[in-house]
Amino acid sequence: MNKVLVVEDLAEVRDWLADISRTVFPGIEVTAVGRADEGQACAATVRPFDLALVDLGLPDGSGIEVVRALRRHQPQCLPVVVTIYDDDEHLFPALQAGAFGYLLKEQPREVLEAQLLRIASGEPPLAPSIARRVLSFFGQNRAVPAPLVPPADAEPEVRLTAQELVVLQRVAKGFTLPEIAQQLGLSRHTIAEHVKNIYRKLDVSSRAEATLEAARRGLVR
Amino acid sequence: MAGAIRKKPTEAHAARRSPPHSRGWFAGHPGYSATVSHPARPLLSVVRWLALWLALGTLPHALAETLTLRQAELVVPGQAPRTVALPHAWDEGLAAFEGVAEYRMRFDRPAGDGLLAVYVPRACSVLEIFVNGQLVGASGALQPPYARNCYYPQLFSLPRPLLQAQGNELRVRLAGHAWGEAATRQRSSQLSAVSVGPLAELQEQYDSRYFWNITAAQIISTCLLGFGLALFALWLARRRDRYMLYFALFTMGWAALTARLFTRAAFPSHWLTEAFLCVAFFPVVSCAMVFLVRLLGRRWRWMDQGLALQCVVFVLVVAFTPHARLLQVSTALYAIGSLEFLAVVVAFLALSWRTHRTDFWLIGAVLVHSIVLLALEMLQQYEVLPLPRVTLGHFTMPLVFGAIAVRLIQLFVRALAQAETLNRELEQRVVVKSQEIERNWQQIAELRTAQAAQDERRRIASDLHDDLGAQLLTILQASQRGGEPDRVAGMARQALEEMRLSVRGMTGHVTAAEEALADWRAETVTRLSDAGLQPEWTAEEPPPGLILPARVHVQLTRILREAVSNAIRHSGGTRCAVRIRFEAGQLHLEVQDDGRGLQSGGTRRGHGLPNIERRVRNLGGEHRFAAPPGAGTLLIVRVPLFSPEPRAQEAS
Repeated sequence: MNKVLVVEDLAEVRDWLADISRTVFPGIEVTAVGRADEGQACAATVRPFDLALVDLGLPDGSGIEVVRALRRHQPQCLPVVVTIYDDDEHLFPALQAGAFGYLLKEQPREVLEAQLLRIASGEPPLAPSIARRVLSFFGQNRAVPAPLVPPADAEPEVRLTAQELVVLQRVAKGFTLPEIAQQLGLSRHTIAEHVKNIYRKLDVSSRAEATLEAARRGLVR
Repeated sequence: MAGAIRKKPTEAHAARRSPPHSRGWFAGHPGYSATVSHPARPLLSVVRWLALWLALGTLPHALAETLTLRQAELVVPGQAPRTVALPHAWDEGLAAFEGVAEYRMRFDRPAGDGLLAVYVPRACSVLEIFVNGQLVGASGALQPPYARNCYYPQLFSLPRPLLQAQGNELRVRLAGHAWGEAATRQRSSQLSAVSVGPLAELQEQYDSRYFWNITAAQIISTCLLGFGLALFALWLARRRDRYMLYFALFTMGWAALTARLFTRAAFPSHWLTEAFLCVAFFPVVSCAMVFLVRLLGRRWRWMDQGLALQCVVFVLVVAFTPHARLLQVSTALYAIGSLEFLAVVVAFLALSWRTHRTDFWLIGAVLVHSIVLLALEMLQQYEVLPLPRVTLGHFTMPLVFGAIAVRLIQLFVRALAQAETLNRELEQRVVVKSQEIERNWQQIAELRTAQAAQDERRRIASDLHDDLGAQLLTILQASQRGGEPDRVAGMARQALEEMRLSVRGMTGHVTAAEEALADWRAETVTRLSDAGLQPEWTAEEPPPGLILPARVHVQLTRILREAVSNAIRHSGGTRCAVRIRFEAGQLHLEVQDDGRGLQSGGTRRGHGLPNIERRVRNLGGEHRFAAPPGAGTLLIVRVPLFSPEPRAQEAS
């Protein structure tokens, strides 16, 4: 982790986030901006970021746009949404846009640092409400083993594997990832890998969906 | 109409001129065709028929070369020959006679050399005509049962070679029933004046009489039948209008009665036929009377029953009448019927005048007309007026019927239009009403929404005051007194959490109990694990489809969170068990730790306890702390799942 982009409108919180980043990744170069358009402009710059901490509620728009711009211009960047909203109505669109995890602002600094480290190492968090949304998004919110019927909107190839489905269903029931690892007799690493894949598929399928929608509207041929 | 009939081809003419029962040899006469080809004839006939119409058929016809014989010598078996005037009805000296009477006349050969003919306008019932001993024609056999020819005129050609210049003898042998055995004078035995003259002139008289008495009757009868059937069909379509039915019956009955003029069909016995014609009149007239009453929208039951009874009584009366008295009796009965009809007409006119019926003048005129006609008929029956050449009523009646039928159809159409209008109005009213209902419903829904929003606002206000306000106040106090930053931060964090929960409640969307349990489990297990306590989660499956109201969900989340926080911060134990079950519309929550317990240790159990207490109370539930000695703390909470409406005083 060499470069981090912090997009947050409140100066105090911005500094705090920059501080946390430096603590977690010593020697990291922080670029901090306060507006969505600035964030998008940064995303379009040549020098790539490794990490981005993006607030959702920005004065000139949503952080989701910044996440999207980052995914478009810098696919190797790891966008993380930092928000005060913890409900899936706010989080799920961000995850669909390509965010690879989320942090809730009010948590104690140590917790935040630990979570950020976990996300960076490829273990994004997954709350039951988000899991439910993901399940219904993939249209596979059915009894296991689900007959994997492709949903109408998503690309047929973007599908959850049976294992991923099981993980999601257990998360949706309120089991924690370590518990699931234990239940399935898998390593925490494997479970984290599944979760990462789920995030990725969410991003890919939503982009495929966007492409489809664009084609439908005649924007792309 | 007249012209059209006159223009018929010669064959048709010839056929009509020769009645089916005549036995004359005239039809094949070579010189005949000359008589029908006069160029001006169609026009003339139209003019003459118009004149005839105007003269109502009663004016005598004066024809130049025709000889009308108005005197005859009557020869009847068993009686001395005597001279009688023609027309001669058998009530003059032959009242009881039944059989063949012979009328002898003498005449000189008419001048000129055209074809000659004998014309008898009325002969009841059948006749044979001999000229100088030679049979020239007959209208039927002189044996009973006699053909019913009374309304048919008779015309026979007269071969000129039979005639001498002077003193020719004309014998009319007339067979008839005894006087009084017919129901009307028109059908009683009689002989009109006999005309001898040029065939051309007599032919015209014959044709005209035939047309008015027979053809017109046929046309009229057919028309009436049509009217009757049409009105009957209308009545079938709209049974409520009973007057339509009675008029239809009247019209059809009249059509049937009119058939007596041209039909020769009869019952086997003359008497039976006449009796039937007599009594059949009354049901028909009764229908007319009932019709008038119903047209006024009234129903006089006594009249209906009286008329029905009268019909039966009249049948009996006629049945027990001596044959020879039928004419007298039927004349009396007709008079009664006519007077009744007159009375009903007067009543009708009076009532419709009083009720300002719009059709008073039309129906009134029609009725007066029919009364006049009826009066004429009655006067003829009573011999006050001579029998006319053409019976006026026969062809003016259709006008009466037509007028009334048109009026009835107009009424029908009006009723139909009215029904349609009503229907349309009703439809419009329904539309308006349903719009109103929709509006009302919308208003109610809006009110309900407003009420729900109001309740929600009240809840949020109470949340903000009780929870967030209190915590911010605590933070304020703590920071002013220079409290430790960590403690202040913790309090602020808690305030944020409170706010988030309030906001979640504010979005107002309900949560499935299953999902709430999953959320609670994830949070609780994660927190306990992170804090180094062994979590133990036992949750019963919620009833399928159970929904937690936002308020219950938010408050339970807080209660659980507080209880777990207490276990983490203050119990000092190593395990924490959470048990949830659903029972009888209530949610049972138990949080148990294996720590110090409530009594042991002097430390206060944090701010959580009063908060838990308040929240449980707010939900209308109950809670208690059980502290088994040496076995940690057990919090038992029971809240109803369907919380009562928040109390109003909470907001104030």
